[in-house]
Amino acid sequence: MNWTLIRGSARRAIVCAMLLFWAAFLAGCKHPSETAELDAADPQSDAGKETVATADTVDVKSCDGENTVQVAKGLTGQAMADALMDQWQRNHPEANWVTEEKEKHVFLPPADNSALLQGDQGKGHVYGNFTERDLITWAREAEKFVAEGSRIFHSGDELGSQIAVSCDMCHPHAANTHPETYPKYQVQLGRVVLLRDMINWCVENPVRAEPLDPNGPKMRALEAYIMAQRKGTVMEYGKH
Amino acid sequence: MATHPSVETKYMEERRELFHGIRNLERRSFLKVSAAALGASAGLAYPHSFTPVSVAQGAEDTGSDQAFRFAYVSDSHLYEKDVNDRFVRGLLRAVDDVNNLDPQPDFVFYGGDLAQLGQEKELELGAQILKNLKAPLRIMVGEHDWYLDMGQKWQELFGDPTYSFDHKGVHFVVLNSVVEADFWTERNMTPMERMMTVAGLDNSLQSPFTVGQTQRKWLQDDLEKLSDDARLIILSHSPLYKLYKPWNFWTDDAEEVQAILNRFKNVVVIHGHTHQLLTNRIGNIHFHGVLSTAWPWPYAPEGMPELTIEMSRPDPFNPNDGCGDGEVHVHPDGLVDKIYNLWNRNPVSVTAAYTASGGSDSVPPKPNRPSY
Amino acid sequence: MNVALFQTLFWDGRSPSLDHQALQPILNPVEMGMPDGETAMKAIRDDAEYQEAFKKAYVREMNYEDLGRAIGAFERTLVFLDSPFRRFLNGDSDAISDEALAGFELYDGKARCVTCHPMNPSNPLGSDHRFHNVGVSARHQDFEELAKQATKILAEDSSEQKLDELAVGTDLSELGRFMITLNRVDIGSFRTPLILNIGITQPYMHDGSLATLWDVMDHYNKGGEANPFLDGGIEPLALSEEEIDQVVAFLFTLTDVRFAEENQQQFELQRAAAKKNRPIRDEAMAERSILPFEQRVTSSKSTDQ
Ligand code: HEC
Ligand code: HEC
Repeated sequence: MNWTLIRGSARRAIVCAMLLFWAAFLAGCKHPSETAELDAADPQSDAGKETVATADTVDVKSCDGENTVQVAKGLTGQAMADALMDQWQRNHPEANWVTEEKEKHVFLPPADNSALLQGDQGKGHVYGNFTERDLITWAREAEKFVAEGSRIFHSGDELGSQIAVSCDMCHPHAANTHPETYPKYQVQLGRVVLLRDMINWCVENPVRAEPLDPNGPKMRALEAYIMAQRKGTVMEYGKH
Repeated sequence: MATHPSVETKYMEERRELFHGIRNLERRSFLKVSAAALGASAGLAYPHSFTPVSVAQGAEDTGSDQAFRFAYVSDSHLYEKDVNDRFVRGLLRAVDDVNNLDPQPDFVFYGGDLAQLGQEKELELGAQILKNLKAPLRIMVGEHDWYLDMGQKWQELFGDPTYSFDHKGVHFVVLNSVVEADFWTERNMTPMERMMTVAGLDNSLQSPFTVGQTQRKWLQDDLEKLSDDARLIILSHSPLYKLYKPWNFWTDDAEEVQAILNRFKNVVVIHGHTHQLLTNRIGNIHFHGVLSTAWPWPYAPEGMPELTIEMSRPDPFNPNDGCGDGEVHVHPDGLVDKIYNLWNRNPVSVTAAYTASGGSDSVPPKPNRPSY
Repeated sequence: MNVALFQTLFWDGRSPSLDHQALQPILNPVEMGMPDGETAMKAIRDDAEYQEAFKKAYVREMNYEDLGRAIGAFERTLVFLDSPFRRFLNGDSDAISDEALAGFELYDGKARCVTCHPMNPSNPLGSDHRFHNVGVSARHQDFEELAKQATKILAEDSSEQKLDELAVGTDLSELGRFMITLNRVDIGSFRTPLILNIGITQPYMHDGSLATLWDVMDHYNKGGEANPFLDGGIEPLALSEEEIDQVVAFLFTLTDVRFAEENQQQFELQRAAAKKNRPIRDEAMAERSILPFEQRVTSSKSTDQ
């Protein structure tokens, strides 16, 4: 996740969501979209408004430390977490951006690591003992990184284009970007370059924008997306 | 002070001398010189590299029912000029090109996607530039022209998107093949969001292109009076077959449309949208793509028609590389030579002989930088 | 049939051997420091390292032909040029001014020169050895007419008569490489020249039509001269005056230090000339408020009617 890309409040909200999500995750490893609507548990107020507790509810401070929501007494932790998650998502429609990005611009899923769950050597060890949870964490985080790249790749605004041009206009699904062929001599630059140099050349020329910081979050995300799209391709540096 | 002519200057001086020499030669020797030069470069250049843009063969205008030629320009994707000068320049260059054709083509066909985001100012700018064409204009709609206001402005400027006309014994049909099922209402999209969705080639929220039942019915009626051996050219924005769905290189009701065209001896379909050399044949129907004036597209990773000889991957240093315009030379039998006038490259002809022979005769030059 | 002419022809477009061609650039420094090949050889023979390398490669004492071959083999590694910029590349960071350095960055980036005029150790001459129409010919009045006739010739089978017409009484050389290949894409295209010593090899371009390097920059900045065969890589650059000065300063660092004095003199002369007159400069085109082809297209209709 590229924190610097995400502006203050949204960033805070995402931290919040992640904490809530983690609660749900620990309780049952359930995806938020699968959680049942719990009318009774639905908090009665929007986050952000101060509320007064009644006899049947308790006040729960949300994780920003400022807002309070009311929750029915006697709820299980799971139901409470689900409900909070649910409500939070309704208040933050953009929080689903990874899912939405994936729906809009389909990209390849990260590699399947389930083979790591087999075998006996790791059992009971600290190191090398992988669980389902590890695999899910890796996959989700990898996907999020790639989704962030996809978002930038598809947005002239994010790229800072002065002519409203984005990468996907010429490279749908990152076609013809050939990340597996670097390093190689690129005539446009008159020297041997890495993938990021060629990305920046396209940023400056076809897209006509200021070059990106080669180590900055946007460049890293773009690289992630472009490489992810060539999953399974043989590395072949110097190929033209 | 002393001047020090560079090697290149010297080189140019010698060249100049050579030219002077050539000028003083009598004709025969001159031709020999040229022929030698030609022969010597044949090993380097493509065998077809001398294919001129105005191929005269079979295209003499000898009255109606005979051969003729028209030019095409397509997929300019204009923004307003102060938003993006490059795409405007592309269309200007194409108009300049076509205006330079001598003799002038019978008409110029515009293949759709004049605008990038269907905005009034974009379409007006396009219409303004196209007014400078010397030859008459025939125009078709593309999805980029349509999905902001559902074709309102485009129709105001250019009229009905579905029509037919006859020219020198050929029946031309122009379709709106970018009809998409409503994906926007359910998602509560604004018109601009809808437009942006359709404008993204790899945006999978949109629906596949169709010609749709209404137009299919219209087409059926329009063709009714034609005999089976009529010369028939269909102009559509999307390819009227199924190539690659994720990029909408696709027409969802292609089979139904093809069924209507089945009874004819020869049908030619010329389509925009794909921004590349693209050739296909399904039975009696010969399909040709056209070039964009804005940018070229990569080839679909799967489903490529066997007849297609790809164009080389372009060099992005030259934003015009892989772009261009072209011509269509219509033969007396209704089949066509399709000329791709690639800017700063040698033009490529995909001839009637090539499609008619199923790819064995007159094979166009193969790319030296194929896609991978 | 003039055999010499024939040979020149081959040398011109496609040199029969790369080795032969490789000897040509060496003449450039030769012209300036070395009156002939022998002197050039002497300079090299004094260099133990080169000598070693040559022996290794050719198993004999070097000679001028070997030198040509070696240069062909090494993609024309230039042995003679000792320019401030080269010193800079070799690690002497004071060899060029900050202004010139900024100019080099532009040359490599925004000004887009490096693609056609590459400068790297494997190819330090500043030419891609390709032919481009950068729109110099298009400034000549008869270019369009010639180009039209040329395409017409290509379009017709019986081209003899037309070739005649073209061959007689016109300035064919403006069609550039086309006259050698009869290839449509070559109309008005010329080989990218080496730009070493460019500071003292004025006037510029194949026809010597540009007097100063400021004029050259003005030419590129406006996106060349629009014509149907213009290399699309020539785009308006929107360079500021300061940026133009920087690129020019950089170009003046490509001259061999043995000509430092002449270079400085020429720099001042050109700067003075440029201060007085910039005949090619076109800000509206450079800033893209008027586009290449725009005037051509919008005026074509009216002149026709
Ligand atoms: C106007 C069209 C256009 C746009 C916009 C564009 N590119 Fe390119 N780019 C090209 C073309 C054409 C090539 C050459 C493709 C090839 O060699 O197959 C290319 C090449 C590349 C390559 C190198 C491919 C190779 O084979 O080495 C990369 C990486 C790349 N682009 C990334 C990007 C990124 C990232 C963006 C957005 C910041 C972008 N491009 C925007 C046209 C474009
Ligand atoms: C598309 C390729 C291309 C690009 C880009 C390009 N040049 Fe050139 N350059 C050429 C060609 C070709 C010529 C010869 C043109 C002619 O004589 O008609 C040339 C000629 C020159 C000359 C004159 C050389 C002489 O001996 O007369 C100079 C100086 C020069 N270029 C500098 C530059 C600079 C500086 C840039 C960047 C602003 C640049 N070029 C960009 C291809 C290019």
